Amino acid sequence: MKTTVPASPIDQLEADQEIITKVLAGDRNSFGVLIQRYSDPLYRHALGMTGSPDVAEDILQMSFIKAFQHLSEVRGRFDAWVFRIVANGCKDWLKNIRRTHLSYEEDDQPTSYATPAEELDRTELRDDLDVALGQLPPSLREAFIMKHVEGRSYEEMADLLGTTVGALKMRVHRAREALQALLEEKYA
Amino acid sequence: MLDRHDERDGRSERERPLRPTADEMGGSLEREVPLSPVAAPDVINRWLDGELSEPTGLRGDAARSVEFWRRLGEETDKRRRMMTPVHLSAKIMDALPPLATPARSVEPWYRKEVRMNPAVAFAAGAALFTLGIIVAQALLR
Repeated sequence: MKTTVPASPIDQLEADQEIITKVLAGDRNSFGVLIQRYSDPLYRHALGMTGSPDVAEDILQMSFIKAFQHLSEVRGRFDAWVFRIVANGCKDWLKNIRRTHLSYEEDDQPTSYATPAEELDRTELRDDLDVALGQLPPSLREAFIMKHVEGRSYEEMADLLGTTVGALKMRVHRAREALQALLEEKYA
Repeated sequence: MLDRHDERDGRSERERPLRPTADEMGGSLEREVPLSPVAAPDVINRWLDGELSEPTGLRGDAARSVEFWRRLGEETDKRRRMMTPVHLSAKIMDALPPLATPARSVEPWYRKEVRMNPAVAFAAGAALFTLGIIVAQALLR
């Protein structure tokens, strides 16, 4: 079952509110509609930030459970609210990785895929981009992924992250410069 | 390269060769080398931000940057089409905890709605009747 996102933001807000009301009234299956509606962009964000499909799945699962438990606290857009939960989950994971001194490159790079077929499917550029993204500071990585992988506008990013368009442009430009410096020798 | 309109070398525009001499080339060529070979020029950032169409006619490092970002764009486009693994939605639904019980009402008892049915009405009537008898007996003593 794949539910399409309503056309306008107002329709979307109302449609989400309707579902939330149903869930709070006891219809927990309706929560599945919200998962279907928003999981793809959230998964892409978590995957881009962590570089690991398994970790991205875990973060998404924990985030939706948290959203379900606090659903009565949603004010305004559900998608923006749940995005913040996922984004914070990713940042917490990155902090913990550093605190426990695990090597991101060794432990959680997406080279450790479940099946050999998945591994073979990955191109060299994809691997190199993952490694390069892993070397960026989280704020630059987040901005780059939101802009280039999720295809969001600077205005939308500013709305979701609670910062200014100018600051985000700066982060994206710095991320591009850093990625180009890391990958240019091989790919330019 | 800008045309030179002065005649400091003593030659007119017509007398000057079409290509500059090695001495003339030195300074201007050095200035064309970018300060940082990896710094994305503003025009490339504006193109990547969707403010400009794809730059054409660039040479050297700028042209290589455009090619680099075109390749990287193909990869990020692929990532943009990635979907959540199919099993994840069901996995999340299975892991959902029971719905929290609604918070207890803080409305005082005297504002709460009274629901009456015949049994409740009969019991209330009987209680009031008994209370009335007790009060009457007390007053008559």
